[in-house]
Amino acid sequence: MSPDMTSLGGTESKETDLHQLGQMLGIGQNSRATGPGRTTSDLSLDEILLLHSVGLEPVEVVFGVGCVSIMAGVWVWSTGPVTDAHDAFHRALDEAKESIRQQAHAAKAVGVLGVDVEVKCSYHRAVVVVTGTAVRSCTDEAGQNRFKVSYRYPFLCDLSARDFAVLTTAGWYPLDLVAGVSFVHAPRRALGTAIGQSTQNVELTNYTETLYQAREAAMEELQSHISQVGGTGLVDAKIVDRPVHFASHVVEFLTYGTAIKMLAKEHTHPQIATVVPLDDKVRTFEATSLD
Amino acid sequence: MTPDAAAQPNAFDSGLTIPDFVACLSMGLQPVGLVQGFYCGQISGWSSYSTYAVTTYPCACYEQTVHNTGWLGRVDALDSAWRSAHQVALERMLKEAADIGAHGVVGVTTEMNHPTNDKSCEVHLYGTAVVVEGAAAPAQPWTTQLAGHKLAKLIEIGFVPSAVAYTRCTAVLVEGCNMEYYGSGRCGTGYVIIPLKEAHELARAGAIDAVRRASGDASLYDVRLQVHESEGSGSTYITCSLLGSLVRRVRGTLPLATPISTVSLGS
Amino acid sequence: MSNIPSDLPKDAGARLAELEHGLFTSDLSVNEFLLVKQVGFHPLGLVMGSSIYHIGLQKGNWGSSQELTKLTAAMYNARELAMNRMEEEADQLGADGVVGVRLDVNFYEWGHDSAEFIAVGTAVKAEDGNSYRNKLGKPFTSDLSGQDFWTLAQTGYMPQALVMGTCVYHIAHRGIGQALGQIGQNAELENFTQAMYDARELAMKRMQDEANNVGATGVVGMRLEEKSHQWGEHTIEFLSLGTAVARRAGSDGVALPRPTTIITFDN
Repeated sequence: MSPDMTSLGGTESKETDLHQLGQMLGIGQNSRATGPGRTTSDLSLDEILLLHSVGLEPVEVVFGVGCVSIMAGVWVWSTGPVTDAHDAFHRALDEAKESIRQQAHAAKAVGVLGVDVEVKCSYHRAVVVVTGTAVRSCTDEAGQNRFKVSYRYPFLCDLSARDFAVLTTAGWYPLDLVAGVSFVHAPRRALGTAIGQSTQNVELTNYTETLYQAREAAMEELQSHISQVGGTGLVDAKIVDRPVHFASHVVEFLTYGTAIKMLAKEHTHPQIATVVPLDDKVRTFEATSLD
Repeated sequence: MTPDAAAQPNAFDSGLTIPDFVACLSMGLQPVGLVQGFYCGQISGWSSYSTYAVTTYPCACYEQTVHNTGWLGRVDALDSAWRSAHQVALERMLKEAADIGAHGVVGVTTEMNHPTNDKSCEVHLYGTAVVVEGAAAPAQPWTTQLAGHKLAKLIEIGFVPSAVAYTRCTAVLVEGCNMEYYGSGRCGTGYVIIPLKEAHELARAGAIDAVRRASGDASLYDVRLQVHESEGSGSTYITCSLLGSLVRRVRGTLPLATPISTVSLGS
Repeated sequence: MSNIPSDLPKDAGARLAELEHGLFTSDLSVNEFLLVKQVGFHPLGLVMGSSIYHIGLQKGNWGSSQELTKLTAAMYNARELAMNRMEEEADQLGADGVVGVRLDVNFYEWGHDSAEFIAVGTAVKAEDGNSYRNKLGKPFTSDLSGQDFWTLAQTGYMPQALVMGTCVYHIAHRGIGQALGQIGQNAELENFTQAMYDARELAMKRMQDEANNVGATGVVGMRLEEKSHQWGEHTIEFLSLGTAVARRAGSDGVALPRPTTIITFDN
């Protein structure tokens, strides 16, 4: 008869005695596993603990891949936005999101957390890979779901499980990953203007206008996607703003994140205590070179 | 453990940090020694270049006419070398642990030279062997990357450690024809490139499934996936390495004591 | 819908209009979002200002240390343009302020001698209906993180403006005669020391002047950055940045209870 694991440890919500945990380890090694095994997860332990406190548990590592072609020649220096690259990126992202949702659905998950978004744009293709952990509701002793919110299809959330737990406790729930992107050619400066401007301090208004336009377009797109999925906001937006590495006259502006929505009646503030750690982490001296 | 240390009764050495050491003692885990396993092997030229699970697909060039086939499959040459390198290193560490009567090894660290190295593979595993007070020794020592309070948390959520896991899976995609390879075959934007997508999925799914199949009733937690892609002469190799912890659920989760939210004023 | 300020490119108008009607975006982390809500503010949206500025050539006299006033003016104007546009966007949203402002300088290969100055932040509005704008009637700006904003607010002080002072200084090359004379000795490089001192003072004084202009009682979180950008090693820009603060009328003293002292046991 395998030893009784349930008799160890308290059921009140206070910290379990460390010694008891050591005992469980010894006994557990020699007992059979309970419950359905074979779950996989890329969440850390701390995140799993926090997830349990909001009624969810990990099921499986899921991923989705989207690869879409880009016509040759779109990167040649011309003017205006590179719409082909923009469309290819969105198509690739949609394909990836659809794949990961299918995997999550097959695992009977309520959503996917900690989604890591990898975007690789090369000369003739856009590749988007999304990886995360599908989660489902825990059931309590009576067989009821502890996570009370139901979703029509699995949500996708690029926030960590820890951020998810804290945000949902405050009343906000994730809906979907949304993104806005803009690829734009930098304007060319005519030679005459170039020489004329060489000694002046002056704003280059056509450059400013072009890049501004590109960024605004991407942020506008992000906002419209948030509304489309029914969200009211977005936190922790990731912004990537850089020249495209293989075509440096094209600037890429990408912004993405998770659309969220308030489901509780009002925002619940967490109780916050202040602490002073005595860990000597204060930076009192730093030497930097002037190079 | 050095020979002198081994000769003294009740002596132990441990790679645990001080807080982890204190926590282990509080849990009733007595450290008995630092154990390690090491393997360094040469990878012979790719003569054993077996490919399997091959599927072919028609290349779709101008106007969707097919004039060649490409193929997609798994390549085992480097993968099996790395997998067995890890396995041998792990077994050597387990043997050292069993020899000193340990129940398990905590705080296991895995060091490898770069996984894209195709000349040699080196794997070094080391950790602190422990004995659980008052418990019977299991058939084989268990291993885990965790130690101290993190290990306590694992047990609190109802799991016990089983073994550290590592696997690797490589998918190769050979393009059907030059047009496809140079990308100009797809004369438009927006076509979904199915073979490349499947290659990516094959590499990842292959790694995760391999561990699942070998894990019995254990679950795989704390998965770290590292994907490396290399392209050249019409073929693309996608390698997915996976490191994780195999754990077994032995009871339901204990309710978590509500954590206190804090803002630190010290930095 | 409020009138679009004439300096903003026309594209900004539609996006800002949407943000006025309840949709919000922000790059605040989840922690910062909750802390900003705790202080009683709600995020409205990401606001951004940018300006691509051509920095004219100005060479310093080889032998003397001096401020390169044209470059100083250029750097200051460029940043001012970017910050003003960001404030205008916030103004149009009806925001009380902008938190988490980031000032970046990008150099592009195709932009010879020019750089892009960007200011990005999250516009916020108070939920109690009062106005928290600064004495000039403009939304406050600050580069304080959500955590610092929360901590500051507990004391009754509120940010007024992100203030900056800049000084581009040319450090004299040492004369040959002077160099020979000092071989083998430990000696202070007096003109170097003096130059650095003067440059920093100029930068900090200009920052303090800005703080006075907004009627602030002090500057917090001040830091001094030194960059050579693309001018070579003898031309350095000293940038002094900080958040000007003032106590809110009607607030009394520090409201924070004594924090708990802790020692963390994890690595």
